[in-house]
Amino acid sequence: MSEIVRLESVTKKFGKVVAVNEVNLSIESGEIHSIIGENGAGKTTLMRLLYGMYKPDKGSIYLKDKAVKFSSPRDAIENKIGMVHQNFMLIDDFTVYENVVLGSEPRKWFSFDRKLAKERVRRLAEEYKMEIDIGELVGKMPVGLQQKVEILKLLYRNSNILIFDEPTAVLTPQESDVLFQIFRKFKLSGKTVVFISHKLREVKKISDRVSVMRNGSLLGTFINEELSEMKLAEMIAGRKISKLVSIQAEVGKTVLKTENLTVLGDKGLPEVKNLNLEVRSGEIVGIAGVVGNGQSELEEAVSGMRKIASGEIIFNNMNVTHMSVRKRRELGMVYIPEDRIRTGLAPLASIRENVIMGHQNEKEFLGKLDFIKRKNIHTFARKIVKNYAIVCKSVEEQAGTLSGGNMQKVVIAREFSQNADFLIISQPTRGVDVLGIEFIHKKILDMKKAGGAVLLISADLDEVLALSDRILVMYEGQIIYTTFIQEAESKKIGLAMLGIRS
Amino acid sequence: MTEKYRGILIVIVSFLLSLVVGGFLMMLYHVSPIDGYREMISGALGNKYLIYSTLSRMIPILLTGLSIAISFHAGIWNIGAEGQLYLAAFVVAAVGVSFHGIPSALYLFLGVATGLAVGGAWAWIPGYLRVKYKVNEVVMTIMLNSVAVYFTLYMTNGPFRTSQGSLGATNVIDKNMWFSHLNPLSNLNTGAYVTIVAVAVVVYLMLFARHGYEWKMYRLNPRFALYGGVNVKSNMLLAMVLSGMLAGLAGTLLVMGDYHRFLNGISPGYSWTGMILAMMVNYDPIGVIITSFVYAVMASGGLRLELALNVPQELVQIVFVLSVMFVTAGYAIANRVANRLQEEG
Repeated sequence: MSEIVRLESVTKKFGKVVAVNEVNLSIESGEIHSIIGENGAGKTTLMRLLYGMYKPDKGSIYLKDKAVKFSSPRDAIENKIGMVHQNFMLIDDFTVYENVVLGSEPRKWFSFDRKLAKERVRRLAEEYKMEIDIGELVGKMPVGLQQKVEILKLLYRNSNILIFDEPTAVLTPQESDVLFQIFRKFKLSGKTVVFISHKLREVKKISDRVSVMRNGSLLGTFINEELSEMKLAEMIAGRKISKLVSIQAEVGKTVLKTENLTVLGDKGLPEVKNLNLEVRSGEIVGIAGVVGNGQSELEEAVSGMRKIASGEIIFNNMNVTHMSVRKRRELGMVYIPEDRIRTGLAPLASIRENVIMGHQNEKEFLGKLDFIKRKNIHTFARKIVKNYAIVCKSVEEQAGTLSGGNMQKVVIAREFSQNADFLIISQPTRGVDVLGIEFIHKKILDMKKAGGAVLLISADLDEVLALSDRILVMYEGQIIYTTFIQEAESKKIGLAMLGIRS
Repeated sequence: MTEKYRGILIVIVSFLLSLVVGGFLMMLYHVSPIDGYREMISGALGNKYLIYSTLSRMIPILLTGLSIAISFHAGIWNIGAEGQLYLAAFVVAAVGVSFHGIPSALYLFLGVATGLAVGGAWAWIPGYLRVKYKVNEVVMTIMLNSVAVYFTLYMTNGPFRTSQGSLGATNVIDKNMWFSHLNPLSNLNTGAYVTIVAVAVVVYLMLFARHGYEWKMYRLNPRFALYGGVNVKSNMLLAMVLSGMLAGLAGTLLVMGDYHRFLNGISPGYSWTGMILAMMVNYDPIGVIITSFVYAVMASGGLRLELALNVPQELVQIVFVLSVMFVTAGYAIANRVANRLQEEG
């Protein structure tokens, strides 16, 4: 193998913040090279330097031993470097092939040669065995497929070095596996893959070599097989990670109960079918299942965001089936949704406006004639920012300008700051780094210890096993398998997740 | 906070820039910009009567501006303020020509209540269809504009055609329904007090009450509002109805205070001017108050400009339109610069 990219003492500062500090990195041709680190460790910045989006303040970049200076991504693309960003850069109203060829369309005389474009894109998709309808509108596709469009864009431009910035953050485990297969095909055809992630398991699974970053510095590059997962985690965090210890709490009265709950999805078809479940105080009930088996509809129905077709929801002996979200919140229900940014936040509103949501009717913040008590709200927002160590300039800053991890914290902080005895939390650790996972898990366990009831929905079986007292497996809108944690066997659960009852 | 200051700065700078361009245009007429603008200001605010008439010019723009501001702020797009204004104005006039012998205080109250009800109801229709059946409110309100305007046109040429001379108008309404003029030389009338109350209510709801917060959150992310326990439907409907009531009030005051009858061209597009002002200040009600005042000053001053210095009063329109363009461009530039700064640190 030969070296294809080398960065020498590269430094990048944003104002006073040193995002990337004196990094030396070598990437070899034809390898899958992972870059791992916490949110804000400088992974993305480092790769954007290589991709020409930023210019380094210091240091130099070599491609095959030749020094290069990129002034824009265009230069990088010309040098066969491509990058798939966290936020896709696609045009929703264009079809797949239109998106792929955009910017370098094949021409016939003065017009766009659609036939040739389709043909080329189809051949590329076939070559890498991507199942995708190239004539479909991109805006209507799930994210997993949109990502494939992004990948096709790179391939269409003959990229040889492919950089993926947290590609699995938006994917289900199954979709991630498909992506990894594509990675392996790239490797076989001699392409180099740079994979940015903060998910240990994935990095362990796919990489040849792993580079670890912390606080802008590169701690080193390691051969994957020679590293244990625990060692890697400690390196990322910079300290010992405490193993999760589940606590036994007194299990008490039933807090939430659903009776023959049926919920329709967006397409008008039942996604939750005659579902019965029960969550008691001092208990965490985990719902395992492959994404798309009705979990989203279930969480929305329980929280009150989605109408219920039939059946009942009983909360603390009260029938809340047709109660508004506001009433349910007032009764002591909090909810950390699956999609924290799209459902749990208004990115264009300030942090203050975001953390007060759900609290806005409390006496402390709302006076007579619906007068809002500005001062109290401000104090409250500042307290939250301080207690949860949310990194921001002031509470008036737009929530959308925060880093991903801090946006998550805003949602979590807001929900946990409410005096609740029931929590629904969905995919708690999606898009969260090692330290964040530790923090969220601890919060969930604290709630249980205090006698709260928790309904945990997660596609990550290990997480469900680590936290839950009881595990329910959801498949096609129904609970098809139930077990106590003491008797849980991950193999049986795994089979149940695929719809096989044992 | 910084966002807000940035917006204010952009509006002020854009306005000053358009004044500079206006100054150059004055020079084409061999008028020094300083003289021109001085004449303009004294023409609008030079004495008590002029101030009164500037204020009376401001009222319909202020009310329609707030009407748009409240609905756009809430994320429901009422493009139908013009129709709500027309229909309310007509119905109030129809009442005013039909009933006589009602004591003045009661009749004034009745007139305002009618206007508010009609404006609100006309906006409630698309609002309800939106909330209940997800019918696009933009299309609905635009269409209802035509319905209202042509309906009133028919009425003034048919059943309610005036018997007192000029066509395209109703008869003069009962005198007991007139808001009395505060001064015989200007149009400003006691309807201004109603305006003050309406403005106070709007400012309170938008800036000091929970509604303003919930409206804004809905506009910024509807799903987030729903998730946070906001009663999305009633909030939207309330914003729509209030918006219609404000537009209706604008029409009502034009009938009861200014013209004392309904005319076909009763609004020369007040709601469109109001819409531009509201959008310029990002739906901030205080901003609407200030900009509608500035607009009224320029519009009244423009008359003087033409009379005293022979500069066509259309110059005022040019300055106005330019400042709108500068503001739009200003936001685009500011966003670009902000992105650049964020990236480069």
